[in-house]
Amino acid sequence: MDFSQAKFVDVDGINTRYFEQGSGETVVLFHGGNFGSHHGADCAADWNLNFDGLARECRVVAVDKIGQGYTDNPETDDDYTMARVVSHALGFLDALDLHDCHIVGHSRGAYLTCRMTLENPARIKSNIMVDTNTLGPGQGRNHIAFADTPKPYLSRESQRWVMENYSWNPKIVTEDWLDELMRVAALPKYLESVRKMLDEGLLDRVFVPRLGREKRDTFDRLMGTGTQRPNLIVWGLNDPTATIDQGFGLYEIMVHKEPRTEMHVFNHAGHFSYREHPEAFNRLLLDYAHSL
Amino acid sequence: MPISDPKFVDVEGIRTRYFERGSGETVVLVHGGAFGSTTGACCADDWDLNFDGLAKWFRVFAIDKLGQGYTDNPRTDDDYTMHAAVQHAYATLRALGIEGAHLVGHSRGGYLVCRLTVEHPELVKSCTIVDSNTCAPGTGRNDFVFANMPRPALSAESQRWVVEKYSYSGDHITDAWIDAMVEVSRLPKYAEAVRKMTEDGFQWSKFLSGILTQKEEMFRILETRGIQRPVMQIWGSEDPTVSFEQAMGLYRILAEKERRARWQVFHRCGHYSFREHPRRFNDVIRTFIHAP
Repeated sequence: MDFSQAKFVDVDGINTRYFEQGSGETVVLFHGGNFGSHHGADCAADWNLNFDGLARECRVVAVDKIGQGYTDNPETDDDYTMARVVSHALGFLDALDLHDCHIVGHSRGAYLTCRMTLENPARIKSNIMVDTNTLGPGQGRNHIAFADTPKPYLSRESQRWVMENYSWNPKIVTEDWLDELMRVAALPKYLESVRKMLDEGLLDRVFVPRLGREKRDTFDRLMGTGTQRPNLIVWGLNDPTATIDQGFGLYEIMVHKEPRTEMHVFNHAGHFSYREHPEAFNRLLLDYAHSL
Repeated sequence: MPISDPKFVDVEGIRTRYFERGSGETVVLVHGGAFGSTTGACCADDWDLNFDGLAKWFRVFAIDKLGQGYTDNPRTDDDYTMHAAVQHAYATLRALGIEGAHLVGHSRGGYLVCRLTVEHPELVKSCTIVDSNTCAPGTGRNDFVFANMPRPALSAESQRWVVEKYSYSGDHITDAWIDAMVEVSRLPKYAEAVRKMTEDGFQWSKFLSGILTQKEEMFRILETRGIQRPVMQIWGSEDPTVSFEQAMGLYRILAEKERRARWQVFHRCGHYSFREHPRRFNDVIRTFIHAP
């Protein structure tokens, strides 16, 4: 994944960074985390061990979600919500005129892809969800796993510590990935979003409570109508934050109304199962996309 | 349609039926059940919905296990054991000159391929265990799932009832498959095995008690040395005989020492995942073989 090959598109006024390569079935990758996170500056680079391999066999698009990576921050304080993340992602598909997409979401990004599928199934061919406690039932364990995050937050050592603690194998936290996370964390707009989320309290006042209510609505819809699109759930057995029990809980919810749901578990895999087993993950994803 | 063009090979005096087709990596399919079973006459034809599809990509073998299908019964009363079935399968691979095999075993055949991999990793490239409580820790549910089975045992009606009970949907149950099983159960040698297992009591005195000790042995090896080969469990989440706890228990044992341990879950799927979802089952086997 060549970070210098980034492209930008205007999505309803939000300058949005993305990477695009290859041809064939369209696979769109949505990373995890959220704007103003002090744990890690997740962005499209989270997929850097997978991107080139996927691009050899499909058209792969990896986008920076709103307020993350090099994509602009949300417009107003009221937009520091997952709902805005969803509307921006759907706007991104519109802006690039992407149809029949296999959307792949990791962590908070899997909540996003599930929500996108519920709200606009017409554009979606399949919904692939990876290690997510944002969408999985029950409480994630992040606050326990990251209680001792080293300060200063977002320093190289702090981000390294967070990503290593997420992972089974610390070696998957590569220097080129950290370089990009550090570049993002140093952007003025990122610092501003951290200030808003933490110092101004948007995290606890806006983002988390609204996500809680929206998640309840998401379960209502999953148990009511279902995604109406095939789902694949991918999980790391050793994920310290989104536990395997949550994965099977999510499976139970997804299959309630959508029979075309499968689940696949990787061993020796923490939260970033696609980084721990990039080749096997890519093969699984590509074969799945081509089977539909 | 039953698999066409059966072949026979002499395996240390045991005439053994098998099927072979295709070219490429070698895949060996091992069916479930046991000699003299009164619930069903499992044989290589169990794979008739998968065989030709897999043969487009691989060199595929499907073998009749010891005393099942058209393969001779065990030579001595002492060989009415799972141990003898494993040794016979090993000798069959040797007789056919098979090395570097991707083993796929269903139900009791899942135990067989796991045990064979543990004992002879040099012959095995990967091992896939499908819907197997024989291979899993804990107690299977067969005893009460098949209570009040229609009589006479092994009639077409009775065998159809059994595979329906095993399944999420009966759609995969063809007359041709039932006919193939009924034909096997009418062989004089099959009746002899039934007599030994039931009337002579070998089922309880030799076969089941033997499995228990052999399983404990195998678990000890899996938890200390590990299987040493890529291993995948495929599990239908509506299998009435393999509970989630058993599937999770087996996966954790396999994953303890083997990084390349995978678990694929199919929905709307009972004990015969390869028959209920033949196309996706074959896909997943290919995915795993190409990128374990």
